[in-house]
Amino acid sequence: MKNGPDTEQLLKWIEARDIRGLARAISIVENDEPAVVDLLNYAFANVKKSLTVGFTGTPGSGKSTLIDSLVKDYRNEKRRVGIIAVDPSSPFSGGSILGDRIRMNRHSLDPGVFIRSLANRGSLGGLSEATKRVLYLYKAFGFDVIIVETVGVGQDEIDIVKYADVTAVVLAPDQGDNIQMSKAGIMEVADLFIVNKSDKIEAETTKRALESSLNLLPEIRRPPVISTIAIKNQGIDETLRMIDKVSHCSESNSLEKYRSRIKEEIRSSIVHSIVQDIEPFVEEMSEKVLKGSLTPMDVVSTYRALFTRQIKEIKSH
Amino acid sequence: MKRNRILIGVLGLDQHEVGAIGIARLLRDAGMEVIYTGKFNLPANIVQTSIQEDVDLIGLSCHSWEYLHYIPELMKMLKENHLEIPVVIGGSVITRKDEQKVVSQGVAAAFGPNTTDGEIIRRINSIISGGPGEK
Amino acid sequence: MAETSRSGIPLKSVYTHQDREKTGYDADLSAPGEFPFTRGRQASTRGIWIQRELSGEGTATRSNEQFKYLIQKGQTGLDVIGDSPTMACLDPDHPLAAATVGTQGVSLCCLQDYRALLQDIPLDSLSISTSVPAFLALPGLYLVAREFGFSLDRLRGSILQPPFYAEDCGYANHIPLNLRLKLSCDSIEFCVKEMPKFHSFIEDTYFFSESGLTAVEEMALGFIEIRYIVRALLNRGVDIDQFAPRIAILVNCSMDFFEEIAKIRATRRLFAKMMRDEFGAKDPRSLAVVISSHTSGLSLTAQQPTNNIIRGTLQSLALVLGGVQALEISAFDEGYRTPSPESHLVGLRTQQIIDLETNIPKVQDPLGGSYYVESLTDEIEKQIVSLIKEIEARGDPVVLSENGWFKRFFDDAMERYGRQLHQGELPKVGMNVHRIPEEEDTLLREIAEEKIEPASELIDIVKAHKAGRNQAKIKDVLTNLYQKAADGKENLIYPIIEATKAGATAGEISGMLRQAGGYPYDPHDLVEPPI
Repeated sequence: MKNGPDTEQLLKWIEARDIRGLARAISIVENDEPAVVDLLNYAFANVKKSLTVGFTGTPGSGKSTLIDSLVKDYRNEKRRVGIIAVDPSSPFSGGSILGDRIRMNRHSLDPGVFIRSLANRGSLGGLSEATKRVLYLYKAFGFDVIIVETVGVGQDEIDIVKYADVTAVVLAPDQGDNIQMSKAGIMEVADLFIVNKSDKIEAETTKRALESSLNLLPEIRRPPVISTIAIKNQGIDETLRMIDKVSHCSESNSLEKYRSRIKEEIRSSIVHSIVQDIEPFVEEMSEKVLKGSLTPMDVVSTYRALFTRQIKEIKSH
Repeated sequence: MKRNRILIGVLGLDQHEVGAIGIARLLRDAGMEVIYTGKFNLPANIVQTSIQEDVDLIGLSCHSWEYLHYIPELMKMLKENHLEIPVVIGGSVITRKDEQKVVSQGVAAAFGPNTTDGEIIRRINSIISGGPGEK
Repeated sequence: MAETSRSGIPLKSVYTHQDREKTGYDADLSAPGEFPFTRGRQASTRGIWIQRELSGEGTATRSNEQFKYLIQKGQTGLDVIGDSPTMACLDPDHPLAAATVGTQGVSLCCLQDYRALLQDIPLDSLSISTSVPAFLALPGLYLVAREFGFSLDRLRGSILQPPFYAEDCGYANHIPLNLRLKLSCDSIEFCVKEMPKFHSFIEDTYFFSESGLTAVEEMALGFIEIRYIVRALLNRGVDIDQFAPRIAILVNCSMDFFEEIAKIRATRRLFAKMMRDEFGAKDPRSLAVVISSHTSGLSLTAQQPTNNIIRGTLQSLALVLGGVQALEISAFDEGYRTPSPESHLVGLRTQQIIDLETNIPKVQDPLGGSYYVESLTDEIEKQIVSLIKEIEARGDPVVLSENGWFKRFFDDAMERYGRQLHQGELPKVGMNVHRIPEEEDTLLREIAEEKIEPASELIDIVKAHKAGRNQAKIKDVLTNLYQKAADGKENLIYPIIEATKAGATAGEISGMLRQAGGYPYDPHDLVEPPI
């Protein structure tokens, strides 16, 4: 069993921008080890200025290759980059294959790039609690640009919008999923659309279809659409400029956004905590429901009755 | 809840990825998180990746004898970085003699062509929890 | 439970004349040498085939000695495989190459290597085949043959064209697909003009079917690639009868004995029908395809290496009965290493014994008319055609390749194969059945486990070569190659020949091609371009 260094050492390392501190801290917050409270409190108090960019898109859109090229350009500008690459966990075994790093292997020796792969560990929907915590650690560690790469199917897509300064959706031509994405509501909340693999014949059609559906939005809220060929490094510079541009524009409502994000964070952290706490209660109550002595709604009432006093106390604070 | 994090990759120009993919799937199905680094790795980037990903074990899939050239360098780099991450290798080209050689160089276990899947999981779990990597 | 062949074709316990009545002799069989060539491509009763073993290891000089050894032992053709850097189109001094220079094949980096490789080899009487990437091997061969005074219109041998499948099957060279396709067509057109007897288009179904494909899948994918390249050449205005006689198929041979025989017969028939009816070929030589073969390495085991000798014997027997024009047996030690001289010798002797002692080659297609074999041939042909239609209906193979569809196909096949082995569905004596403890498994083990060290001396030799060249000339030829490749209008073999003559290396030539296609010079971001 690994005997890690103590919290004090980790914080020293993080302050000194030693990646050993960050790497170990990530494991602690991901696994809910006891030091999580101190680490996250430290992180919250030491958040540094950074640009957080969320990338979402279906598998096959070339997201990882695009990010790889973008990182190269960021590094040419001497900007330090931290990447969080999220992949799904197997619903059967709970295990996961985290392979996004492969496309970014050439940056593995660059001290100005930090990449961490996270499995979403069956999180209940949206960005996992771990991802949000790691984002805090990254902000405290200090990166010029933080990139969060998410799985991109379902609730994740919308959730990332709350936590990123700029959210980019990556599409590849000739993917039926493009229709799916437009249903998920992502069209209305993303800041930037990227049509990758745009050397394909269908790219033009995809771009036009995308632009026409975006035209339904009022011009002031209409996100730009960029064409790229990530594997040939084309359109990457434009993407970088656009991300910077969009992030400056959104600064005006950043206070509103920050407030709603804090609310969201508190909400999800509490829910995460409650879900863990009530597990024995859930076990016990489900036996009763199976026996037929209680209905699921009875369980809810029981819970509320048991914890009403606690809720009353919280409300009065 | 903690899950074992295993780095799986192929060294040098060994282009046979099938074994690595097979092991990655095996480990995933056993509930582990596999940081899959694919092909074309050198000891330096294996080490950096291991640090960033805070892995519990490094697994190298070997279809050619290149790994013999890289193991001493890898073990040296791990030591220089004060990393106590165990290293295992697996593949059908691993002979008994090679196994003895790499174990003497500090590798925790070598899974040759006669190793079963169950044995691989059992020994990896044992190695990670600080037990022996023996058969 | 119903018995099936390895490809899943249901097998009866016995076949009778009732299984034969369905087909008529002239329409589907015919005599050897007559359309559709089911029974053989030539009328001659002597089933001569080129007997050779896949070779190449260490430096070009060492490989040259290996060739001479094999020729002296009775080999009648050469087949050369490159080491990992050569196959990946990288130079020995690339950071990823150090541990593997010369260990999986021969290191061929520049013109001097081709000279050393072919020193004193009678190129006018011995065919020379190679799986080294065609756009590098062809210029090397061409220049050296000329230098040594051989007449190019008599040069025999072959090069492979695997543009769709190499990247996904362990031979990635990271050159963009459209350029790989162009280079294939360019090299075939080049040979039509300059080396008319050379088989410039080998469809190698062996290497990708080693992903665990069935016989049906192997040939379907092979035909898909052939069809694509044929159409591309026709679009360029090349006459079908000019290049079709130079198409050959290099097939795998696994352990399902009769299925492999039927596969070869079905392939000949399918090819003939396709060439005549779909592509309008008229020359009979365009219709009678040459089939060369390599026995399956995947079917061999690391356990009990002697078992592999028996497997090789049975597989080569199947190939001779099916009627192939060239044969290579996978060496018994191939589970561990590139073949030893001993295993090479065993491979050659196997072929020679079949040839000289069994009387088998004296009669063509001895299994023709067998109720079982004809039934199997018909069924395999049907299934191959059906699978080709199914895959081509999914879309342009270029699109499928770019979307990773073929890669998934190979990955799934490998997983399926692994599972079958694991669960004992596919018996492998010594591996999942009739195992013996490791301590007892000693027969031929010492030979099987002997390694060759990397030819590290080549790293400094290449560095010195690069430093000692006429740098201005190198800049010229590489710039010229880059521009022609980016332009895409001319045949690229010519500028590659110029570059090779000036001393440019495989890595540099390939790097220029990658850059012209918009990719980085070095796929691993470790080496800077020389210009």
